[in-house]
Amino acid sequence: MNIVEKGIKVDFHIHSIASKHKEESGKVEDSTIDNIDVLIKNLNDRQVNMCSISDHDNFDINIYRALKNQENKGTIKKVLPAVEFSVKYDSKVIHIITIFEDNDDMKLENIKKLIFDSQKDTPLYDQEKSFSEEKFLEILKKIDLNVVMIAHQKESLTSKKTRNNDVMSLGKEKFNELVFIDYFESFEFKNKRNEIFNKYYIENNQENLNSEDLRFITGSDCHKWSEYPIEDESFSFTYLKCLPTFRGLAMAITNTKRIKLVNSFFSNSDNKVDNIKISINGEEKDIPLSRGINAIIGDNSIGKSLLLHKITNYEYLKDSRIEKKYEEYLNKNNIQLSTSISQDKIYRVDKQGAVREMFEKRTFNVNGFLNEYFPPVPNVEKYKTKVKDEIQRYIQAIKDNYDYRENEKKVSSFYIKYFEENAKSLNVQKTKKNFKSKIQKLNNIIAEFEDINLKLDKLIKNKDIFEDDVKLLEEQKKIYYNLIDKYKNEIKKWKFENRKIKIVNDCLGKLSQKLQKSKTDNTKAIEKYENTLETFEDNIVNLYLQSKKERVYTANIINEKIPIEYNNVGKYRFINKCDVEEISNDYIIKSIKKLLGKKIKDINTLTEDNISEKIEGEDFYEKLDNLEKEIYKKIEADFKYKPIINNLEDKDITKELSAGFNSKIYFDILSEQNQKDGIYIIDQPEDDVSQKSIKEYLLEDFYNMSQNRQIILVTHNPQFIVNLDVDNVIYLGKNENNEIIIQSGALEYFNEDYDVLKIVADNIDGGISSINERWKRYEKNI
Amino acid sequence: MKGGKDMKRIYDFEENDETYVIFFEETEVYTINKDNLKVDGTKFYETFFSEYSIGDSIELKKGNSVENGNKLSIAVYDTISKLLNEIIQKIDEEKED
Repeated sequence: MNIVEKGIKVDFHIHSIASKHKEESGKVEDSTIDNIDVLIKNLNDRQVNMCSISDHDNFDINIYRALKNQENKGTIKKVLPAVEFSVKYDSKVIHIITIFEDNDDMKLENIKKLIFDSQKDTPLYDQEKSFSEEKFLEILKKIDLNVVMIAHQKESLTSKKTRNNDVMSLGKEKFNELVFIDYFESFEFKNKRNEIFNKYYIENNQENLNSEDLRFITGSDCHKWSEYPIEDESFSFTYLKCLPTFRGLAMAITNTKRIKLVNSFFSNSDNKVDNIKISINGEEKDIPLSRGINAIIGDNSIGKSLLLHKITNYEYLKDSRIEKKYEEYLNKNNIQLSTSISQDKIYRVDKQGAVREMFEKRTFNVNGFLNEYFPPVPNVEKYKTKVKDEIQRYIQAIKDNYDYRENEKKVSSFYIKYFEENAKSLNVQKTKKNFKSKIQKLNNIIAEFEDINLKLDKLIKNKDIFEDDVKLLEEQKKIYYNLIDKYKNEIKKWKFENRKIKIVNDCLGKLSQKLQKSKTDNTKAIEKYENTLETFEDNIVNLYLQSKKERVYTANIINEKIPIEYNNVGKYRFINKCDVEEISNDYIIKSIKKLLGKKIKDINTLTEDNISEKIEGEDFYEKLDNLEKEIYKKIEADFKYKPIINNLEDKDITKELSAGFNSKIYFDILSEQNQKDGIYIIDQPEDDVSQKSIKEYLLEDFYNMSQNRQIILVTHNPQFIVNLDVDNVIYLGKNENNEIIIQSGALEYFNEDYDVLKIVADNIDGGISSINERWKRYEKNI
Repeated sequence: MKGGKDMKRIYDFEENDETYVIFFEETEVYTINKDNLKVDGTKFYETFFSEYSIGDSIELKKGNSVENGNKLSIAVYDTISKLLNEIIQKIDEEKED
């Protein structure tokens, strides 16, 4: 298998008879090659996958070979050669388990000669019971094999006592220095409870260390094979997320995220894809996929995005033109992809640029994503109604003022006339009495009641309302229906009055017509004069009545805060918030002014002459009606709840003009989502994110995500591959015949045809430097 | 000259050689030129109704200067008085509505 399917159980600290020179009598006497079966049985019983015999300053190649012979027979997948060196640093001797690469058997044969005098049965120390640091390094150079060094640190780092042979015996300063220069790949402890003390030490030494610098693994330090440790409260085996190879070990042991005391590197979800089945030029290929992070890499336009969209059946592409091009590309290169991931297995698909677009368009609360974090939207109808009532008052005041001015114009002058004789003919005058306005006022009351009943109806139909309350609402409705009936009856009465007036006026009109024929000129003149007087009176009355109306609007609304709902999630606060924070007189005036334009400083000075040309309408009245509608539209927009993500200091971070920062929010939140199952597919998560930010947070976010779900991503970023230690690299490239090739595997994987690390180094910009930085000692010459 | 609740306003109608003059609390508030007998509507409104409150009443008293026997003077007085009364009545009717 070229990928890691689950963590492997390791123990690199087992002694044999070859440690006899350093151990008290009786401790290792039975741990001989003749008893190797005892160790093999115990290792298999404990399901150990990778191990070493690491004797004190000695190496027994026969025991090593005997154990190595068991590879792939039981649970043991890899046996690596190792020695526990005693090395003197600053007058203190510390123990270093040094594990060698197993790729050159000949070189292994030299180890013993370089460190142990078989005839004297003692190591070739240059110091008392130890090697000097110089000698130790010289030996390693002579052995000439890649090594992994694990320093002894049996006592917890926080312990007040220091144990002989522990690194901490050199003192805290020296210890921190060795950690800082990454001298050792890892530190070994045995007692399980020390894990927490060691973590505490890192937490309290953050100025000198970060959690990535110190890596701990457990070692059994078994001397009697027959008593090979059983996992219990005091000891726990270490699991490494790596292939059972030396390179796998070297990579895993230098990354805290690949080391655990429980085998829980991957999600157990069934929502995953095991492989991608692909046929290129008729050759069937099965690309295994990891449960963790699968990174697709390769040159531009090689088909990486295509692969993502094809395996998701173009469900998330939504661009038929590109889909057509993709299909043409597949046909042209004679590629058939038979893997298809059903939507129910997918958690989310983010195509290239999707994250940036989502924040630009503020669509992060739709399509389900992030929606669940946003609190319910509060009801703001009552605030809107109050504001709209004020706007209505304003528009009415402007209309009334207009009417007043129109009436003012009608109040003209007249000349008093004196008639010697009064009209002797009958002068018939119709009554001007009319109850139209009374009826209108009553109709308005009915409309209000009907409006209440409509709202009650809506409430009654609401499924969430309690049954008892429905009854109460029904009763309320009846009350309003009764009131409506009452006012309708009142209207009937006034309508009847109007009909009577009409009948009387019709009769008077006919009589007037008849009388007109017999009237004298003088009578007609008197009548005309009296009509003039009556018109004058009416105009004065109208002007007076109009003067009593509110013709100057003064905003009069009580300040009220609009509710803001929020929900804290991790580092963020999800908010549903209106643009308007409170209703106030200031808000009303500003809302009106915005629509009136800058020319009008005082909203009460609005007239048919200065109303904006942008407001349509045949006359001033129609324009005012349209103005009202426009202001209502603004109010509707202002009161529309918008999703906002603030930080915990309540700063709207979604407003930040940084796509990179938006990505941070997005991935931070995504990484915390562990309830929803499913595969996460993303095309180039590094887009818009600086290298610094990728290192600071993005890799951690993706690592956290990979604990809960399978991830398939396309990337060009070396950090994403090397520093994130992706679980599977899928390389799409072309061979010398310009045919598409696919090579894949864990970062540490290599075979006769390819080496994944080399692929990364050769094909990703900055890949080689990332590898070197990540991996200081191992294979610098890749 | 502000009105109050159900206030009664008493105006005095007088005449001189050239004009008919209306006084309120001995101050001249409205004039009609005898040459043309023009009633200026705007001035009329402002004088009698800009401060008028519903419920107030207006009385136009015929002053001593008005010659009882002069039909024109009487007609002018009657016209103005009638206008005032009818306008108040119409305003009251609107109020009832």
